[in-house]
Amino acid sequence: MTGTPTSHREAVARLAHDVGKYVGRIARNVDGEVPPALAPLLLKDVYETHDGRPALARLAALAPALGPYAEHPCLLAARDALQRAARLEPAARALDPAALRALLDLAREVESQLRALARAVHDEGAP
Amino acid sequence: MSPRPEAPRRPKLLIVDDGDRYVELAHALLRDYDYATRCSLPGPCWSCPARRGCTLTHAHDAREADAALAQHPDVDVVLLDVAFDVPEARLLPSTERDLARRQRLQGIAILAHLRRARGDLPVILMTSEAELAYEDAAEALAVDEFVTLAGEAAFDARALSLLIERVLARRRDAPASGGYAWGTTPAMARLRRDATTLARTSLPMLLVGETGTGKSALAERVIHPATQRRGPFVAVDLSALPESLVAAELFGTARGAFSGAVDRPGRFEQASGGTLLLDEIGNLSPELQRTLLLVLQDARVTRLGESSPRPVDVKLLAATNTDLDDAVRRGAFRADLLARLHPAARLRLPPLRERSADLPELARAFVQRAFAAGPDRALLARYLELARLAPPTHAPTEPPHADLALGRPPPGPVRGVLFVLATASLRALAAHPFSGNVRELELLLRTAAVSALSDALTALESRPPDTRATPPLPSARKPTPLDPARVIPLPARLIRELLAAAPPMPASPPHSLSAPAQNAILDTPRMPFSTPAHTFRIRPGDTAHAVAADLERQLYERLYTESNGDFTVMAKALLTGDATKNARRVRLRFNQLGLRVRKRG
Repeated sequence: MTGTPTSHREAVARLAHDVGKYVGRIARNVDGEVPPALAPLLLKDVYETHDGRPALARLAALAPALGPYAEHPCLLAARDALQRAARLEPAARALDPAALRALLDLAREVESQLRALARAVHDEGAP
Repeated sequence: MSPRPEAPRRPKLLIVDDGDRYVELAHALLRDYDYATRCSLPGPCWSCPARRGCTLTHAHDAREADAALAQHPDVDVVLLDVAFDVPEARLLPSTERDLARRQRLQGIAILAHLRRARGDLPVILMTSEAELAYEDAAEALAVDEFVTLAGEAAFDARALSLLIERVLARRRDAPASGGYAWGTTPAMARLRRDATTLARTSLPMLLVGETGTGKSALAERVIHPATQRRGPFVAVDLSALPESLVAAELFGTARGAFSGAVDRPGRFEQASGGTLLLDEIGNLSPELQRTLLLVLQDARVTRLGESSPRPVDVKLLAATNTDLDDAVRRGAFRADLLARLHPAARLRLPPLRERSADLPELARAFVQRAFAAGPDRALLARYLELARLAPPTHAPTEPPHADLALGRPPPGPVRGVLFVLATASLRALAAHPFSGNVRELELLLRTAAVSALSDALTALESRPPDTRATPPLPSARKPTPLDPARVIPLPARLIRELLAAAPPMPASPPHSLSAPAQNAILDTPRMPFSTPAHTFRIRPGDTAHAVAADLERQLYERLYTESNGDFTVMAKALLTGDATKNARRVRLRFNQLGLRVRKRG
């Protein structure tokens, strides 16, 4: 989505949508080895997440609007997982099985942390 | 008649998403479903040679969703994204100024848009409460019983598949499955059990009952879905076809079979893999009875002008309001054909007078259905909007909904609009003979409700805009029990007049047109205020009834315009007898045709 979020809560909702949801799309449906047919979709989920740009870039773009949630433990954990995924990119794009397996775990971690963040914000009733 | 095993019809999904994430996931991992695409190539998409770069796999906005639903009216479930990152021109019109917010909640607006035409279409919103910032749409979603939030199942193929199955099962098992109003009388309970049991067999089925008892509806909405056959439901009204055309219509033609004949499949071939209803089978000529018997025996049809038969696989349903046993005794119907139609297990639909206990339930179902789709639903939406019972079309929007209460409105919140039928009116309905049975009852109640709504809308439109809301907008957005604009009485006088004016329902009107034409001159000699002849446009339709209704609609529109909206003048042009009563009859028909009263001027 384009535009600037008007509240911290909206920014978190957008982060959960633009990053968390899409990053975990294939990862949550695959256990163990990544089938060859699904590998391109997994790479797209992590490295072309939003407008063809990586999830990490989208997170960075939304960070200023997150206010106090920019330092939330869930967000920090998600950012860390995305940074590790970024380092894996060359091997993953070369379809290295170990890299793809690691990418699955990281994508699931990002999705889970961002969902937890969105739920926490929703429960708190943040502005 | 089933030479091949019947493959169950696979549920059909429509994906509405600005991107391609859901469709990629579905095509990769949910291959047990059919998909409503916007292309004409045979599926499935995942084995299509033209799949690379194809954008016809799903709908990307409301307009494309409309197109896909028009192309696939048999969609079972819609998977709808919520956020749509599309240019403003592709968003639904809205009074909301914040473009980002409109994009973020466009799915909710599309849901409301779909609801205007398809009130009961199951929709799974591919989001969760947390992600949606639920409060933004809670009101719209809380009153929509056919919407489900996917939550964490949105991108989990196995969980999503289970969710889809649950949604499908809920619809299948709903008490009014397929929108058929069963009621509670023992005869209807037996009918329901027998209909669904026999539907699963390959045996032909014979539906008998007086006109208007719901034979066609039972066939289409109950029996055909219960067969779980993948092919279409095809109905032929044998009383509406000139005898000379019946054979060509049923069995098809080969080029040159007769002057102007082209290669064309008949209704048997069209229904192959599905269900064929032969309505008013008692009208079939002796020669065609013999041919039909052969088709039933061999499961093959031969097009007129051909010599080689073609195999067909149909579940055959035959319906009649005549006594076929008596017709056999009189020699008008073949005994062997009747025997083939499985007469021992015939389904008898009781007339309304034998199920008067069902009247309240039927009345409620008919009012709900009157506003579930079509022009009357748009009328209701307009009323809700003008009365400020629903905000303008930016999300979230309360879907139009109508219900009926008997006696007085129940305590508690009212959703949409509640029509109220007085106890005395219910007694009057119960005492009426209703020779046209449930069909006549439905038309009468639909007319009463639409008339009452139309009057309420006209009254509202005549008031200055700032006095329309009761109470004003901020508190009117939540359903309130005391809001008088939500309660519309069906006046007892109106019900009495409709009962007095309702003409007997004809079993089968005579037909004189023998061939399709693009334009026809229909003589209207008794019209006192116009030239004696008019040109009407004949637009080919799905059924003869639809074509006839379209022509009648044109006639009423013309008369309405020329009489400046005076129903008494229209009545004088159309009917003999008491002009006042006839004016009410004309208005009744006017409403039934989906036409709307305009201000005079």
